[in-house]
Amino acid sequence: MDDCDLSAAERSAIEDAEKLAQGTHWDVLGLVGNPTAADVKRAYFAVSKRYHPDRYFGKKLGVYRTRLEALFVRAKKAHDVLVDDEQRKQYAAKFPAPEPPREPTPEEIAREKRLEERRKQIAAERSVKRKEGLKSELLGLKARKLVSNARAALDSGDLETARSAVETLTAENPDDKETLFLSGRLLEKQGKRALALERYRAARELDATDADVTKAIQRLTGRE
Amino acid sequence: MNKIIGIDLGTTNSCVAIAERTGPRVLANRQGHNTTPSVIAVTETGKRLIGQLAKRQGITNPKNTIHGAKRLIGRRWEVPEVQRMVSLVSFVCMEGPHDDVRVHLGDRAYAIPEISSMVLQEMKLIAEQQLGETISQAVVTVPAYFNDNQRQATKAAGAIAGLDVVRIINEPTAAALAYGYGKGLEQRVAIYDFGGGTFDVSILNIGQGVFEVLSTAGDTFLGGEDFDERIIEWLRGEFMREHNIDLRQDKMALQRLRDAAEKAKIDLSAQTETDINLPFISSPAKGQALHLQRRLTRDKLVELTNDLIERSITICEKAFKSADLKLADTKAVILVGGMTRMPRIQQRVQEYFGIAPSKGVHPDEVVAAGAAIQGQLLAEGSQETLLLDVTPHNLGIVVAGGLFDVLIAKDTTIPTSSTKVFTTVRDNQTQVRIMVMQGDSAVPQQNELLGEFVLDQLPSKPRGEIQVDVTFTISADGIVSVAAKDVATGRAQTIQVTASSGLTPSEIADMTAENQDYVTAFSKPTEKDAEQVELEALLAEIEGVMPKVSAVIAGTEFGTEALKKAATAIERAKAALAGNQRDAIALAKGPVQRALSLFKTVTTKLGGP
Repeated sequence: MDDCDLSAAERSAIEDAEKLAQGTHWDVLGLVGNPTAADVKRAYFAVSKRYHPDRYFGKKLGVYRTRLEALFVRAKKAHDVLVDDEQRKQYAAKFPAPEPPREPTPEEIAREKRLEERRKQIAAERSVKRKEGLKSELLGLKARKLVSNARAALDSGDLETARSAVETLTAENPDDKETLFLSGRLLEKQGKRALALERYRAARELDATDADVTKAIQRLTGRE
Repeated sequence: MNKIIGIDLGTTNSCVAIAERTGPRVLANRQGHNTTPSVIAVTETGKRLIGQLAKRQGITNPKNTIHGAKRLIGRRWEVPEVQRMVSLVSFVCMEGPHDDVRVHLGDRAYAIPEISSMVLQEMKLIAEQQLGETISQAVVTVPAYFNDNQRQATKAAGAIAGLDVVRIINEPTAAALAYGYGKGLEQRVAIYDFGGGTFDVSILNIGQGVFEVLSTAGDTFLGGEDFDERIIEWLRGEFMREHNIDLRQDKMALQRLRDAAEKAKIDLSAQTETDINLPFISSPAKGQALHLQRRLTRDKLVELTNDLIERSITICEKAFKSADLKLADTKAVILVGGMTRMPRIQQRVQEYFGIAPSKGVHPDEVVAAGAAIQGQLLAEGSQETLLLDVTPHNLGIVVAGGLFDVLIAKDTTIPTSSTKVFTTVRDNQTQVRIMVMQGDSAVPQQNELLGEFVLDQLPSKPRGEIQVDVTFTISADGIVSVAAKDVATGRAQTIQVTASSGLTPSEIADMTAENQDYVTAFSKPTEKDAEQVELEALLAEIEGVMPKVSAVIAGTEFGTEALKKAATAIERAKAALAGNQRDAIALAKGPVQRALSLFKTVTTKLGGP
């Protein structure tokens, strides 16, 4: 298949058309009911544009060239018969045109309407959830930034920056182990050891395995 | 993406265009003209001239100035149209080695595609200068009525010029594309294309971006040069009467007449009369000089050329008739080609179609513009616009009895293909010769031979038992290929018709003689037997009643006539049966049947013995 530049999608479209080409003239042009000569012409023009090899000019078509040409010739044949009153009459006697799709009943319309509404609702709910998910993700990002800022400030002794970061963290994420731990460290630096211990203990409640928290409590109590 | 230019390779003038985002743009030559004369010359010093420069020096250098090469391209030396042109032109033509036409230019002979390639090369150069880049691909237009040999020769001219001719399209189709492209039209249009050398008419349906040619007709030897020729002939005749000197014998005088005739014709499109002044046109003796002075009126020109105009209208009628189209369905007429500037032509077209011709297309540039649009559509792989053209002539093979069996009829939309089963005409015929012909005559010799090949190694069998499938295919780009297959063995031969095989009509005539390796339309043996049996039965019956009938009606005037007719019918039928010719058997049946029923009536009415 190296001698052919067509994509897989283009090839499968051609193969689908070849299946249609096995059918009646009506199938080939996608006509139903009682189309006028102008309808037949329009359908033929549309199909021609799809399968005329000129559409792929400059591309290597390999075996698909003759296959496309055969599809075009097939559409032309269908057109020639269906556009001519006499020939069409004879052909339709043997191969009647497919019925056009039936008009839906009121019940079907109502059912379809209900289904459509439910689909809309589900879509709306999904969209809300997606938005919320996005929000929490953004918050997490912000919180992580604040945590690292607060840590850096505490390490360097910039208590003012640390305080502001811890305040924001406390406001937005009060029940977080990291918030409580950082708040404890700030209070400890400010000399408020009792309050600091309280925070450390609260942090330990949330995560007993955290080594930093445990170390801080030991530092303040001398044991535990 | 490579740019594809559009070239209108005309008989008298050529034009090149490129499609841009804003629409097609005609590219002007160095002199600033949008069209370039299709004239090639070689000066005394051996310099080659093309276009305006070549045309201008034509008077002083008539023998080495070639014009109208398009009228000779892809044609055989023997055809009457070529012979007529050869007798009229000032340059030297001769027969080429492949039964083609060669012209003498400078110090050597050139094949016609070589001459056309020089014009194409000039158009390529103009495009390259205007666009500032190398151009290697082109869409070239030809008259719709050109046959395959003429198209292939035009393609060859492109190749010699270093141009890949990606598509040959018909001039009227190109004009329709330029007229309707991007306008969202839903309309039936007629293109009336009267050029320098050829006349074409095409009828198209335009809708949803598809340009579908429904019918085409034309005459490749009807054009502006014929109008010039009429004026030349008139001037020559007048001069002859006055001075008893034939100006045609003087190449230089003839060239001056030709230029003056063309100029007068053009003048008469704008004014009602013009003066033709050719001083010193002839000097019969030393120191003696004769001048030619004539006034030509518009009415006189119409009188001289009216039959040419009427011929174009007859061709229009043919185009409608052959495709079974109604004149009234045509909603627009587009005039293409320089000749459509002639007021009488515009008037006659309006009379015939019953509608005023569309304004707004430039008759000299619209074809190149359309070719450029097609080039762009192809380059882009357009999914919105599509040209659906037709094959202009019947295409088929020669069958036994010197008949032309058509596989693809004229005006069939391409791409297309057609298969027919043929059989052998002689016992133990082990090969069949497939001669591919194109043309509209039932007589093969009057058509164009596109190529031939032999399918051999057929098994030895009685005539009529071998089945050979012959398939004709015309691809989207107009290339004809023919395949023959022995149904029993699957053995196949294929040719792609590329160029004239160079056979002479006399050779073709020899080939249509009897006992050649021909084929005939295949029919199932049972069918043939039935026909044969039926005719034999009819013959037995009529011969049975003949004595009785002749006894009754012989001697009357009516009777003698009827008996004579019956005898002829019987003779023919016997010959057909003896020759085992299926078609002849079928044909012979009717007359015998009629004679028999007449005789039966006679015997019942008159009682008989």
